[in-house]
Amino acid sequence: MVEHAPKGALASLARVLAVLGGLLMLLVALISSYSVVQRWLTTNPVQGDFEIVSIGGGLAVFLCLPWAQQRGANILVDSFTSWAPAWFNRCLDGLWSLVYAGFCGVLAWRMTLGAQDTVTSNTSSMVLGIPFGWAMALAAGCFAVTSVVALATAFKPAPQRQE
Amino acid sequence: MSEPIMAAFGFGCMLVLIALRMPVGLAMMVVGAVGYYELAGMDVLLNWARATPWHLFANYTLTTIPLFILMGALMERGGLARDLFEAANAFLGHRRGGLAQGAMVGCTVFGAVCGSSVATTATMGRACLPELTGRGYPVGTSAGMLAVGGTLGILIPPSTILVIYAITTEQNIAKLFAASMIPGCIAAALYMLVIWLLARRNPAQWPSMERASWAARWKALRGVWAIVAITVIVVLGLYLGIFTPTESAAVGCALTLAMGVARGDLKGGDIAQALRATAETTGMIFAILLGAEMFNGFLALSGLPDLAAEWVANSGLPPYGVLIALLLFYVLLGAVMDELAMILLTLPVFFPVVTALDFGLSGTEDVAIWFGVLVLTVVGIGLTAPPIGLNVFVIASMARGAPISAIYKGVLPFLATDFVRLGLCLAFPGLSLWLVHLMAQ
Repeated sequence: MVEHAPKGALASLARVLAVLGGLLMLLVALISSYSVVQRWLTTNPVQGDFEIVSIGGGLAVFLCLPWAQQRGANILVDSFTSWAPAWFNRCLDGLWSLVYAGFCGVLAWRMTLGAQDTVTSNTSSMVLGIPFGWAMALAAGCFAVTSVVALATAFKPAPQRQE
Repeated sequence: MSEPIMAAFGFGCMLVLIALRMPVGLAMMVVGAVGYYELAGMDVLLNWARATPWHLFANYTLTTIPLFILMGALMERGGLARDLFEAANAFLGHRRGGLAQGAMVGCTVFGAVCGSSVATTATMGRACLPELTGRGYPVGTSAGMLAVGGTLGILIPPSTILVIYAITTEQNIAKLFAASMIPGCIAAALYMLVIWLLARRNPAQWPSMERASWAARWKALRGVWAIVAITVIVVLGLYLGIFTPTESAAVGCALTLAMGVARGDLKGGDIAQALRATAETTGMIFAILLGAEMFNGFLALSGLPDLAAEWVANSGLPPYGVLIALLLFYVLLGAVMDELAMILLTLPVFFPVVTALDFGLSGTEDVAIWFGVLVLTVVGIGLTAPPIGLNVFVIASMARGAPISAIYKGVLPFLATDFVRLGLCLAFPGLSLWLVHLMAQ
């Protein structure tokens, strides 16, 4: 896969978030493995490893969303429009990026409210009592970034992917 | 408009949007949102968006997917493919078409630690293709063989596609992995048979190497003991119920990382690249999963899946006839659509239909697991069959000088065995279910 360093602050932000998401995923893997070893050696697993994996893994996935959009990593079907001129397809892609930007914007807005509920009601995870409202707020932030990235890619599409 | 008709109409609209290049996940989200709004109103829709995405993604079982992707990405960077190929060659290289057999064995072992067919093709392709063509093997067939060999990444567990099938249909992941084990091994055996036949028919194009000494063989094996150990730990731990699927993926990641760093194959830059590649694939998959969640919510509200299941079950159509028709439909759909999108789109309707039919198996769970293996088989076909075939595109980018038509031609004999295997799995559900029942005891 050929990968050039991205240009522009927004693309760099998406890339940094992607690496953070990957690192978080790696951390989750290590904690979960540690728990397996603990359980095997002492029959006492890490308390609430289930919750750490869920919340950490979930947050990591949200962090990946802007980068996927930045890289144009969307599954789409181009068999029916391959006959059309390139400008037409570019317009379609731009239009759909705008729609995606809109949806991500709405999701960011609604999830901010959802995060507020969770924080104010002090909802936390069952075993460890992790107040995951803050994680939801970060997830809402990831949708906001994705929305802006989609807006930017609508007018300046990602370069064609080279595997 | 009655609700199921509206859902069917929505389905049609979605297909039109997809044909107009709308990303599949977005199309499901748009149509799902409009349908949800029509059936339940704006308040319900807006409330849905408050917490559903979070609870969908922050899900213990679903975390298996990015973890397996990460493990595959680390493997891809870690230089393991080369070692595997060399070890397999030390044992098989002197046979007819030995290098090709070695590459296929490499794909099989790599497939047992990697859950993605694209990653398997990319990694094994990079390691094997230059060697194969350098020794005079025909480039089209070599590339086609590696494209097909890559599907062993999903056919032999672990498998991202099976995890997604398991989650969408609420089935046990470990049981599905067990069910796909024997069919996966049959796939590898049939592919090797094809290589043997091709090499026999045209020995000049399929040269063999000198027989390696036992000393050289042991030396080559030392290079791969770690990857074999990881495979055994991940697979056995999962089958014996020592790990959950999520834990097996996590342990696989940790071990792959440790091994890569210890052997000096994974440097900081490689790891960062693996992390970014993981993020890209993960973001892509989860965008579709979110769209599918929205769309499935709409479908469930409309009652269309239940209605379809009831109609088919009462229609008096022969169960096997319905099943074969559905599988053929998948093969056709695979020609225009990505596999992941294809199963997420169709399962909400097809799954209740299939599980409502009577195949003479002992329970609905058996039918669900068996159907999962069948779907996996057609997905594998879709990954290599013209005119799309993601794996073929991946290998084509490495096989410079080979036109894509030559690669498709190389794929064909292997593809034929995929249909043979599909037939076998259809005729003998025991191939899938035997190990599952054994594990349950």
